[in-house]
Amino acid sequence: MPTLYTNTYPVAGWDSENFAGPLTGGSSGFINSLGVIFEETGAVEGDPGNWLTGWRPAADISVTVSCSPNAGVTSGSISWIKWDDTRLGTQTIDLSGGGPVTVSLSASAVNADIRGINVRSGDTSDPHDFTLVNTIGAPVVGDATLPLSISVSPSANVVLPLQVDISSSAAFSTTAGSSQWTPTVHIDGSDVSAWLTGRLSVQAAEDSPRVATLELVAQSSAWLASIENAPVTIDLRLTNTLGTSVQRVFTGTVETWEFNPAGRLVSLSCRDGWNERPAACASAADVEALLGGMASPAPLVLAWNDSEPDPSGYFSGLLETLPGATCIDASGQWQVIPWDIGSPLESFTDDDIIDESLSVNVARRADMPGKISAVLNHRHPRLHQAEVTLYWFRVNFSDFILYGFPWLMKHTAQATLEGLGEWHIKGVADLVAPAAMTHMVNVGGNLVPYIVPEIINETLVEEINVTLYRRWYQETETTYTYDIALGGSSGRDQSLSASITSEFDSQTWERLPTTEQSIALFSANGPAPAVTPTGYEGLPLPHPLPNSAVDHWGAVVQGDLDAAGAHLLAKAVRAAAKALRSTTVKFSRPLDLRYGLGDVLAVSAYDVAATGQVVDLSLDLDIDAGSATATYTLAVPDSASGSTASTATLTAPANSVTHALSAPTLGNHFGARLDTPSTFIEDNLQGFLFNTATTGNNYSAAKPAFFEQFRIVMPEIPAPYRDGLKQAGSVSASWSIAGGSLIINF
Amino acid sequence: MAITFKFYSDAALTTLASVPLTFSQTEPTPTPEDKLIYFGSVASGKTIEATSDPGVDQIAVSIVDSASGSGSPATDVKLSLTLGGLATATAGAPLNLGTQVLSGTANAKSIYIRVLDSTGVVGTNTDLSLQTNNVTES
Repeated sequence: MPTLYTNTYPVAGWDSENFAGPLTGGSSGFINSLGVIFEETGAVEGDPGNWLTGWRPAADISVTVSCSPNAGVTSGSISWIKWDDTRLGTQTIDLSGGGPVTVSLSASAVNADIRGINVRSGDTSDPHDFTLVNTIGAPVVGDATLPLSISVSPSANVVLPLQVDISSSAAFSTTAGSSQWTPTVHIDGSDVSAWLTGRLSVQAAEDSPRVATLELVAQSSAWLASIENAPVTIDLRLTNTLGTSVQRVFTGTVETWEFNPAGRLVSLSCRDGWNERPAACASAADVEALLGGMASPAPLVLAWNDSEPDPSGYFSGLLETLPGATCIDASGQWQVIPWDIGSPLESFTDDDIIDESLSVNVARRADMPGKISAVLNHRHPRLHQAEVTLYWFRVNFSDFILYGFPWLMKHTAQATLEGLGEWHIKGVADLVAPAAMTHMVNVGGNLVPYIVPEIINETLVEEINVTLYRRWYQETETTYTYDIALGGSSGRDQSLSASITSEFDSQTWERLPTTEQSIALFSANGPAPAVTPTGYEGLPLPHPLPNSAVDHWGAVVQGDLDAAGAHLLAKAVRAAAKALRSTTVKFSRPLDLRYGLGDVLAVSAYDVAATGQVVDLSLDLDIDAGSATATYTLAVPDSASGSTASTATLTAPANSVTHALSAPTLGNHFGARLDTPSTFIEDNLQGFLFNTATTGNNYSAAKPAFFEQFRIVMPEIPAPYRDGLKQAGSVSASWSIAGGSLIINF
Repeated sequence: MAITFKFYSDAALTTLASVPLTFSQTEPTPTPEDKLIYFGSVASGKTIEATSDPGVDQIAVSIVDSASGSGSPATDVKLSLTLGGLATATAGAPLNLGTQVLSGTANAKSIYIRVLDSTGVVGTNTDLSLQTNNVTES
């Protein structure tokens, strides 16, 4: 056999530049390896998936090899080798000692794709196994990346500058004789005070925006174009020989302006954001917070719609229950002003007010009703349940024999019981079948056998015990009324009312029958139910007690009712308070910056002595003439309390319904017998109606004969329990309206 | 990126508190003036914590006097989370708002401010401000 010798026996497994072996291979026998090529596993020339394809080492590669057995010569060699067996960078190595031998293969010699590393022993006829111990390439240099995610969170100190204006009360004293006042107006951050002319006024009132009007000389058309909706602040400085006061009197925006080109005079109308604040609310809670928690929300009366929010409408509705008023103060802060009247902050006399400026306005007669009623109507069903127990027993056996009376069939009885319209069987009707046996019946002194056959007996009824129930609802309206007597002379009464409805499917409730209406399934030894049936199985809740009624409120609970009642009462109290507060005292005095809406002031001048709460304030200044006045309108309600408030709880009337419907008497009524009556009271013909057999004793064809039937006429529901019901609930409430004082004495 | 938490003038956080927030006092017999502002954010899903130790240190609103010895002293100001608390609050003391404040109107903090002048000096003082400690928003 011929033998082959090769210096390029392939040994696969050199799979990386930096390789840690050992990788050993060789061959002897038919093919004898004098040298090997250490190559990549599964390599294919030109395959881009090979790591050697396109590989050009960055630096010389250290290669350590050995062979076994030892080479016979010292002229072994090592090199790179290409796929065409061309050797690159060949070096001589001595494997006569077997190695390992380490050499450095030149990186620059790799100028084309190589197949691997070729190691040759130098022998010509001795096969060897060769081992690639390792190859060490250049250090790996590259970019190591670690993705980072960096979130930058802002941090800061949140700052709110404060300004404390300290004034001297002496600046408002009229004893100084005269005072100097200076306005400072900023529009869009710029001081325009030097351009002011004409009149400047600030007016504030409860539940309305603070309004400022001012006149100035426009400096340019561009400035005119920029001022719409521009922020505006107005400060006033008042100085006399006794003291100085500086106060902010307005914070708002330019609403509109009017330009007179003749003198380049522009009149600005400015307003604060009183209308915008409620409109910007996004939830019911936001609106309620605007009212300082003092309003009386009641979702069933005044609902917030999440799908179509109307914050302005919700605010207006809640405002009607506020025992006070709202405004935005001079510094732009939203304020809730309780209608409380205590001791006055200041008392003014004749010397303090402008001559003839004091006036008293008494509430109009039309504004003063005799009483204001808060009325809440609650519509809900009253659910009734009445029960009637029925009993029937057959005729005597002797009657069957003598007169041929028929038996009442079970299916007839069942059909009748199931066909009573709005009356239903409670649980299961007890239709007792006669015992299957021979009965010895005494007929005329003789014992006669009467056979009740087996199987047939189960289709017959000799006794009925059944309770029938009826459920029905009664539309009920419970009204809660609370009156606030005002004693007004208008002759009219005012009513504030609302209705809430307890939603409930009463029709389904009253008509859904029990499911256990079939003839008994078991003739004997029926399984006992795990739980004793109530007879109400399959009936929807609620279950009134037998022969009683329950006022069903559905999802409405007592808290809802109380909230609705409190809402309406608060509304009535506010209406009453507003009526009483329409009596006012008004006066003007030299510019006084100390007091605002809600402050309690007193005035005693010109035969009038009054103490009341500021409901309107007006500052009027004339830049040209120099005049500056403050006008206060005080509400002086005629009431005794110091505060305005209300509370209410509602109590529904007790339900004492008891049904005592008479059960019909179910008897046995025979026709076509000599003693069958000729006239009847039809209502009494209840029970089993049947006829004498034509072959029976005393049969008479001339007597009335019945259609055989089992007849039941159930009692009617009395009208008071059926027709719509209106009843009155009770309201436990307290209320108060803060009162001022007004004495006119001359 | 700026902090979204601010001082507002209403619970619905619709309007920023006026800058400066002004208080009026009348000598010689000044009476306390109370104002209510709110601290919160209308942004969604935001939280602030004290930068010094997030989630541990309190977010505190302090009364900062930029001109100690002149103008109004910090002790002329009281802060409280409730109206009733103003009576017993320590003048000039900071107010803790908790270790974190969440955004949204429901989580806004009510801050009651009471100013009562002690200087007796007529004028306009702008040396005071309310300032939180450094807070980080996430």
